[in-house]
Amino acid sequence: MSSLLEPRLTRDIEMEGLRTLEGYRRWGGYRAIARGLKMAPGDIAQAVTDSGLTGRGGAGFPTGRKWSLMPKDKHPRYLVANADESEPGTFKDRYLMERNPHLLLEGVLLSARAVEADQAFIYVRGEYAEIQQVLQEALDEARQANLVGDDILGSGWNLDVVIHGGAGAYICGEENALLESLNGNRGRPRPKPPYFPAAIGLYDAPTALNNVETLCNVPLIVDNGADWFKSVGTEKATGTRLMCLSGQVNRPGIYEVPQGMAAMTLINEVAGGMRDGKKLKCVQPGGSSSQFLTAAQLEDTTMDADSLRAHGTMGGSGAVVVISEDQCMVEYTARLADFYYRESCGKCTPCREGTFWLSRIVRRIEAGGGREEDVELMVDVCNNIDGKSLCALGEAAAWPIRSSVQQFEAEYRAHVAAHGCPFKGTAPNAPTSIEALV
Amino acid sequence: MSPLELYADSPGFAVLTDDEVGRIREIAGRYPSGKSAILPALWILQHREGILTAEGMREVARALDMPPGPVEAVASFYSMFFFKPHGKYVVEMCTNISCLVMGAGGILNRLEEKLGTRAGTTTADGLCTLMEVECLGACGGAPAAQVNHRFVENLTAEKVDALVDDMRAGRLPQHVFATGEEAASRGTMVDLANPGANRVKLPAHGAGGSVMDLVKGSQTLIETGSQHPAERGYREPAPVAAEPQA
Repeated sequence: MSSLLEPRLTRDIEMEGLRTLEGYRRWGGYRAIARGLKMAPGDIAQAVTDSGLTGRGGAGFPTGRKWSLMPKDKHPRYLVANADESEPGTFKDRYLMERNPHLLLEGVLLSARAVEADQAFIYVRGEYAEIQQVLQEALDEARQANLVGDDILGSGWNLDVVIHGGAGAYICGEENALLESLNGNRGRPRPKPPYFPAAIGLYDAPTALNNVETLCNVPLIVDNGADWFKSVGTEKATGTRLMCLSGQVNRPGIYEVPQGMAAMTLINEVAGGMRDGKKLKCVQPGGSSSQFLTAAQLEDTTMDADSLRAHGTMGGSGAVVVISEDQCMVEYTARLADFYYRESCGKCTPCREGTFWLSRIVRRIEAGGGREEDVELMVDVCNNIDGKSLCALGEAAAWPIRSSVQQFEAEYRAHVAAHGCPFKGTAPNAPTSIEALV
Repeated sequence: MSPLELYADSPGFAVLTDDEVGRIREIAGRYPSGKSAILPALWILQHREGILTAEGMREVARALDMPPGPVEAVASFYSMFFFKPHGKYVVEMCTNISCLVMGAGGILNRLEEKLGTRAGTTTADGLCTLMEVECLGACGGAPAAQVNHRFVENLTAEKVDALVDDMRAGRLPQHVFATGEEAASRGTMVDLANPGANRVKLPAHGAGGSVMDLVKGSQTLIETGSQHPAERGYREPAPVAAEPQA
């Protein structure tokens, strides 16, 4: 398939023994660190800046610029790999770490050198217990081979890497909440300003915090150069992205594609089209936090930040959830609302209260107890979270839910009118009282 | 007074083994701040005990040379720690968006039927706890679940039946969880819904001794020369007349 030509991060990812140091070296690994050790830290950072690499975790911030925001010569300073992949629909980092753990380690080493970090941490979500083990084995091997620790490969440069396991909290994927968690506190976000991790991060020291996929790209950039990296993708969105295809497609899975691929190509060719010949209703193009794109909108959408933004949504974590015509959007949105309600840390009022009420209102619409004005009420609650919450979790709840209500208003109205879910055949199912449902 | 004096009259460790205390301290040494080792230490505790008891958390705090409060605060924040006994197997079924779209609701129902227990509860024989959880990062293999932290993906009704049969026959490759029954019988379970109910009890002479000792302490302060509040112009409020009994 021409569109999948030349995978980079996922090249030979099913190769036997890739997880071992010996296998990774055979793959071409740890060449970049040997080169990087001879380069000045600033040159590594410059190569990353030149490549146009942007964060692959969700926000899409240029990586080189993120690093440049760290105050110069202030020590100690840290590098943290965000492997707390919890955005529903996203499973690319797990795939990378499971199959090629040394690539992440090499990325951590090079990035730590680029930002002159004194220590590096990999924060892996608690649910990835198996992956923590895979990483730990790789780290032990790398340490024995003098790739991690003191005087790395005789260069006189030291770096210690610590793998830190979480214990179940979506909020810990948010940068400040992650740092709080790593600090040994409850994983709650801190206000920005003043807590920009680049300036006041882990242990209140300057901290570079990057997603796993972002870090994995760094060895490839150092090894092959920025121009090679830019040779695929669009002018503004360079390189490849791991797309997590899930939902009603024939071949769900991880696909590495050039940025800017047409959305319909991704669904129909890469992911094998709709399952059982079902009709496409919509997708969430960037994880559970992104706004929906209807089938009609998808026709002229490409999967890069600019095009997605023009359609009122975002590339987020690269998770594309494909939804077919027979899926009830109220049920889907109710599950989303439940998720954000459960995962809200409760620190700020708009998010704590807003997600609670969104969950209750959408659940009562789904169950048949919705009122005509509930549809507007949901949009109103979303508007009062958006831009007013302490961290992005609140907005991540408001965006898709508001988008769902606005784009699929007819479905919500149908639920209210029929006192039940038309998709489940439960309507008419008029409840005796609304109170019985909430 | 240092908060560590709380532990002054505590003999050795009763819940944690010496080896575990050593491991916790070794892990704490990897971080610039030992506080960061709270999460790994709680995992060490839960791995062996199955649940986190009040005594266990207090010992984690002691191993890390810190007061118990921060450890309890951290433990109660995360969703993967258990405070009540659970089954030997814990099935965590994802019902989030990708799994929902692929029929996770039906799979959860099947699990409930086959196990004979509702989501959020444990089977009567104590074999299995069924939980509905958030996205596990197995969306490409939806509907997916974890059994004792190991992924099981692309679930179908047949796979669920086989899984439960294997569980009952003890044929699952997963290691079996400590259920926490034993820990609960000897320790104090923490009730998160009612945090005041099961606080870690201070040692008899902890926190600088009894309340009376603290009062005595303030008297010592006065006697040794610092100004008494009354001499700084502080007046006792006039006693409020008791309401006449109706």
